[in-house]
Amino acid sequence: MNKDIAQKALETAMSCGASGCRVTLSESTQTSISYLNGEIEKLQESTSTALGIALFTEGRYGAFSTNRLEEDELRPFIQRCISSCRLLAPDKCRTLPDPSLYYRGGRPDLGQCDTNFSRIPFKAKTDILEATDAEVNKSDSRVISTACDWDDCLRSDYIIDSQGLEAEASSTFYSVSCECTVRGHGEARPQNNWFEGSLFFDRLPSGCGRTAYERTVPMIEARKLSSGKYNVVLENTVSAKAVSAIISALNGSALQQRNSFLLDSLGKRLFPENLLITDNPLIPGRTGSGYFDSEGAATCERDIIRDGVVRTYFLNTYFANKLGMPRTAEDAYAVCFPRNSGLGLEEILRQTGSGVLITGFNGGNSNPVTGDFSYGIEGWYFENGQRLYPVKEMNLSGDFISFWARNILIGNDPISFMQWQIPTLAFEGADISGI
Amino acid sequence: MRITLSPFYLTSKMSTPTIDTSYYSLFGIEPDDARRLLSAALSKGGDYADIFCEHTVNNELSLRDGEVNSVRSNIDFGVGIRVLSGDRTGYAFSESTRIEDLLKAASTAAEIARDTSSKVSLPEDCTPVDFINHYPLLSELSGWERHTVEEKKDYLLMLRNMIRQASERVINITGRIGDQQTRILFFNSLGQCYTDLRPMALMSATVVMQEGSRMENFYASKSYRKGFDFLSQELVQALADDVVEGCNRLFEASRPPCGEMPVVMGAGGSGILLHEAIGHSFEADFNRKGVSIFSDRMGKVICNPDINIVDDGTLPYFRGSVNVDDEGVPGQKTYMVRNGILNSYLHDRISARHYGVAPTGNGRRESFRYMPIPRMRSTYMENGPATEEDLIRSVKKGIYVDNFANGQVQIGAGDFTFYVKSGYIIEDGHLTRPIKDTNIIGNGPEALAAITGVAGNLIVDDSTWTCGKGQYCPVSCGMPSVLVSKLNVGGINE
Repeated sequence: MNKDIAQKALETAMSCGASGCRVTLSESTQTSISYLNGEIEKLQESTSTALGIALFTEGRYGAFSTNRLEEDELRPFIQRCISSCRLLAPDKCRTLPDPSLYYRGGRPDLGQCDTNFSRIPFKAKTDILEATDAEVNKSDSRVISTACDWDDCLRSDYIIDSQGLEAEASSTFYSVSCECTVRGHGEARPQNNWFEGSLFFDRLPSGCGRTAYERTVPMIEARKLSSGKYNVVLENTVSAKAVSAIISALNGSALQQRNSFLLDSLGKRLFPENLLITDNPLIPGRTGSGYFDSEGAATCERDIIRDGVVRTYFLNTYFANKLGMPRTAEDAYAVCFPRNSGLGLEEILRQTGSGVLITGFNGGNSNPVTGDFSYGIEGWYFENGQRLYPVKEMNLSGDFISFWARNILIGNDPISFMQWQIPTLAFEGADISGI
Repeated sequence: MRITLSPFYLTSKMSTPTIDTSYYSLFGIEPDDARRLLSAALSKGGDYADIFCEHTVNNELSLRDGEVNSVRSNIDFGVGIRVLSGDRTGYAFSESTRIEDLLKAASTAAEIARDTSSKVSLPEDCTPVDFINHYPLLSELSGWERHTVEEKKDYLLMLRNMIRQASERVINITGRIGDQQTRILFFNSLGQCYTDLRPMALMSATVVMQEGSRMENFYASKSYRKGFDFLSQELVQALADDVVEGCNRLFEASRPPCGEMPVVMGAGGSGILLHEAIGHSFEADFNRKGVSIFSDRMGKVICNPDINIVDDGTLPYFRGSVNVDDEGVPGQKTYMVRNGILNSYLHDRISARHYGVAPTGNGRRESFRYMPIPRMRSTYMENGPATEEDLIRSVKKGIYVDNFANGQVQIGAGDFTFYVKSGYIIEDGHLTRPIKDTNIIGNGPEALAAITGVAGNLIVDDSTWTCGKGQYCPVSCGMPSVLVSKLNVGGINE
């Protein structure tokens, strides 16, 4: 990474009249390989560099980016950006962060970057794809197609500002996925997929193709249930849906614009009193861990919900200034449920008794102001903890506050490589529309 | 304001462009360089190669808390090089146009080929692709790069004032003007080349309103492939009316009852039904791989013979229009369904070759960072014989829907959904209480076959529709009012 580009951009911005400036230089190197039915179908390799410039000029603000990094293009670009900013209305809340909040370095490595990234041979990647494809039971005449994808990425970020901030971080990620398509009844061709990921090449699990096949074939017999109230269990692959709505509603932008169903919720008990949701981006080796955010502020562990009480809003510098509150964090980076039932999926199904195990969402949305939601779902109908038959083409509707009030179980089984560690979650009495 | 299809638009100003040679210097690539790169791309074999050069400038101006106080701009520049070898694709891009960097990208893309040498004979000269310009700038002054923040911000302040004047319930307004100007220079191994200037404009508004303790929000947008003339008092007034009326209606609305019921889909944005329920399933890459629920239905009756469904890249100034697609095929109008029969898939060059048909101009990509794949453009159903009143009158108990947020489809199973922001209950043939926030789910072939009435009031919606298929593309969708006899409505068990 050529850090001089960032330094030069910062100097240029300040010399052209900016009163404050933050520059972020990002580089990424990626490989994508697609296999279709055991044969290579697509290959893509690329390297990208982007420069982001946040300009603060006489109380005015603009955010700019470019991948034209030659000096003869960069300087006029920055000059035009500053000219644009000067035409805006001033906004005294647009400031760089308090420098005392900056990450100053010196902490132990968080284990986010595989130093062998550039040394992984192409064949090692195609070998994984071939093995993944081979895991699908090709002797099953119902199998129409298997599509396996490999993706890897090395990303580096370097961030500096006019208050002396300087921080950098790199991360790698490898993933392999498999999608199976099988012949169903009539013209239907049910599909399902599975994926595995890892920060490190040598920790990438196998078994992706087999899991994809095993999740696809039963869907041939999927049917619809009668409309009614059902217990629902959100599998760990999809349970983040129930959490992301809370995080979005606690975001400074939504709160400041009064576009949130958790307006004025700080310190209030709105969730079950045993509920504990935290954000901890400081765990070594976990996807999403990092010592600083995009403003360069140091991250820390914080409670989001504790004992059912809302404990934080997610406020960057701007929205903290707007709301007259202390800056917290821009976003939730590594959500987890430290307090849980200690149960895995099968035991949660058994304790829940009967209902719908949701393994996939199909579209839908929510109303940010009211918290009302309606999502398409598929999965399994279960009784006495046993899966009886797959279900599809139904809707789950409700509102998030009432939905969480009927939370009955929290599992201990988040997917290890996911940035948000959201386990299986069980709720009672949810509205499902079917036939 | 919604723009209907009309003869006025179909006869608006057109011109036949040739190569704009200023693009050679913009990208630093002359035809001779392109020929050298194509030769390198095909050095290890392959049937076809192309070079896609892109320069895009994006700007965004925002209204927040009553003031225009934030601006964003982005420049994206690069070259994508692609090699096709049978159904296989090799791809690489470079953000530098130094010849050594481009040759490296060509060499990477070439790795897909399995032959030792290409049988492709590169033509000596490049011939401009002949196409009609469906989104010409009205004048040189119309280009976005000639206009400053100062000129644009007046329209956001106008929007603020119109919304404030329209309702005392308004407690918050955010507004946005986005403009984009993309320049494309393209060469391929068939000896074709083109340059294309692609403008894009959008304006959006979100309001939050309060009445007592109850709060609601609503979002509306307008988007066209236009220059600065996109902005007008009429456009701003239409946007303000849409967002205020839409939000006001929500205060009277509640969740609908759930279950399967007839659904009358109002003209315009209901085109999301076509986009999700069948449009994606007609994209030929899915059919070529045998994973679409329509893979074996070509030439067969799939719905009422009164129904014609089109994917059209030629609607003047619409968001989904393409002069020429991202692999050098002119934009065109493609009948996917004609008289109820599946007539054509939407093809890129790979699928067209696979099926032995001509490409349909649907090979599109988000940017030079992506390889082109079959994508929709403006997808709509042509008019039918009924009236919207006929359709509503025929429903004893069901819903009418006319405003949508998003949709999704599972290609193989054919299950699709779309999220309804607002609509009405239909009782005994009349619209009664407003409804909101419900997801509708159905199965594509079943829903298409369940369209029992089509009105003659086609509207192609002008909202900011963007389609995601691993990469994003601007699209349009439209529909006359239709009656679908049975869909699953997400709601509350009564």
